[in-house]
Amino acid sequence: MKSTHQTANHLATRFGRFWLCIVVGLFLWIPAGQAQQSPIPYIGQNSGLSGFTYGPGIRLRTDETRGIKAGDFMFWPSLVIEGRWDSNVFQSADGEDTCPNETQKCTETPVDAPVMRIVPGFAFSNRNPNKVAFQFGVESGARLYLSERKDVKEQRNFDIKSDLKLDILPKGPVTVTILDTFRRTLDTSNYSSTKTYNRNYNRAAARVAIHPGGGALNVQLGYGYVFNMYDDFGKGDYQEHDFEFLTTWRFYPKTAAFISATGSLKDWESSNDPTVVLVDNKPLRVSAGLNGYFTKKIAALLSVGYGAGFYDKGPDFEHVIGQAELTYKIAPSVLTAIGYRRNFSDSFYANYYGDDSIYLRANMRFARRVSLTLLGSFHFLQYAEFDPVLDDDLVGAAKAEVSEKERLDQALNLHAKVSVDITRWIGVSVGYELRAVFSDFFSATNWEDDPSKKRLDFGRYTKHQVYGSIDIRY
Amino acid sequence: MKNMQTGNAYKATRFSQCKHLVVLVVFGFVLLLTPVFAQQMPPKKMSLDEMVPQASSYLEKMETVEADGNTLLTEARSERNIQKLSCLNDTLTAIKGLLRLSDQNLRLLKKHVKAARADQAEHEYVKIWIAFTKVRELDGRIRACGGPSDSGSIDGRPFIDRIKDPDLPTEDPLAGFSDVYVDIQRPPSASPYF
Repeated sequence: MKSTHQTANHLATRFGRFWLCIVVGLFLWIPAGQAQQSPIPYIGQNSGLSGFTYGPGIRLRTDETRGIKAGDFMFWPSLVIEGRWDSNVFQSADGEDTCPNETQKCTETPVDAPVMRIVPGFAFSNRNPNKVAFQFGVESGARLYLSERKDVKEQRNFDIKSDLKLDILPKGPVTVTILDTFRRTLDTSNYSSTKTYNRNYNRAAARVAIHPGGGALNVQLGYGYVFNMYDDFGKGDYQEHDFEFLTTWRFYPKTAAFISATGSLKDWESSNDPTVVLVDNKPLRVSAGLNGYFTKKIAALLSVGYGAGFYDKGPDFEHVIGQAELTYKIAPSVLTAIGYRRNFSDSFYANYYGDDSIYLRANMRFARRVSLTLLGSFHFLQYAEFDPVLDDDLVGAAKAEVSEKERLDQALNLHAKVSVDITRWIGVSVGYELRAVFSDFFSATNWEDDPSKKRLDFGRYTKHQVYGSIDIRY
Repeated sequence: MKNMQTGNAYKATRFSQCKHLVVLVVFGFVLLLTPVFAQQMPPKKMSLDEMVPQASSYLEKMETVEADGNTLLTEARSERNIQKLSCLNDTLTAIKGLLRLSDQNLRLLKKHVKAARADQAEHEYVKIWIAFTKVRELDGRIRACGGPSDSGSIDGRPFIDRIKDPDLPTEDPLAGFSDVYVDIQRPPSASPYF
């Protein structure tokens, strides 16, 4: 019997040969194309890699060479057809030592599968807005798992990514903005199951921005209402009231100072359920910093602040948060950045986890039509102290045994992507993604078929994904 | 006492000298300004016979201004200087309008002079004189068209030419700051609850 690694390597080799042929063929065909070079954005939100599917919101493509003019509106249709191979559909641990002794039952075996995605979408906005600036974009992807296994096949579904932005008086001293962000994301569960972590997330928000005079100073206040609903895990549903405050001041040479504050009132649907650990909280983050170019080639982002979780019960996060990033523009179309970030997040296990991460980014564009993106981040994830056995609010199977009270994971994310614009409206992309969680942590629950044995669930896993896509954008 | 009287007499003499000096300066100033005011104010007590040749000379001068303006307009067309063209067109339109009116006024002036209607003749003469004054102002404006003061504004609003190195970064340092953060993290593995 072939090991999973061998199967994975075999598949990877097949995919590699296939895409190598395509890329070589395209390079030979390139002179017929007329792609335009666009500037590379040097500052991202660096919220970590969340995969090719669920990256940042839809940014309206502003390339003047693309889009259909319809009166006062611009319309950008797109279609992405993607083939992907996923080495570990259910985020399972791998290795020989997953079963420490005979009284424990190991159920984790990585399952790989090819995935097909078809993602049509469109975006439109009005040109030269004076009183109202309108932007809307939507993409919806159908996902098919090409596998014989029922638990894998049942993961087929469709996702949606939609962003709406309406600016009233965008050029005036006071601008009112109405926003709506909707995501339907598809996620497989952490064990072999037909159940999923598919969810529907929506954030409706309103902002008022005051930018008197030339707009160097901007003061912004906002409110947002969030709801999150899972298809299969109703216990994870929540709603949230967000408040945001942002003051920015631009100054020469190409720099901005900012003060930012965000606060939320988060209400979990199952906060009183004795079978889960989800605690209502009021996270607050306040930070101030500088961002921008300090020379023609060197940019930096410095942000320091305070973060607190304000959980209704249990341990609380209260610490310094911040980010430091140094960017070096080697050439106008070659850019690299290195940074460190500290933040915290609500967790589905324990109250929260603190996230200290270092990251590296590189964007390159050469020959006017080839772009290369490299992203890598390494995270130290420190969960709040938690022992389900000692938690009096939990009952039954929820009082699971865990290997350690203070869970500490390390996670490595990598993403490499090469895109080639063959013509103005058609291009191809190939990419590789890695998500590896290194952890000694595991939980043990009673094995349903044999109560004398424990079912182990390990925190560590490794997931490789290779993809190739045809990108049609008019 | 005598000394005191002598002192007062001295002061009085000095005061008288100063007064004369002030009067002299003011008089000189008025004399200097007289030609200016003479041009600004319409001539009065002009005989009817003098009015027609004077008005005709005003019209000739106005036509000269128009001709100069047309020459500048041709130059601006060859230079393809849109701003200058726009400025000259506007000004020449106003000059042509004034010329047309002044032509009519001159015909009426001649009629009234012939009929010896002094008041009406003077009325027409004054209108021609006003048009002439206005055209002189427009002459100055024509010559300023396309000049440094004009090139620095569009529709009266100043604009600034930015001269900068081509390799300066163009990115907005605040790009992404107002992006919506979407919290769609998946439950971690090894959670007994998910």
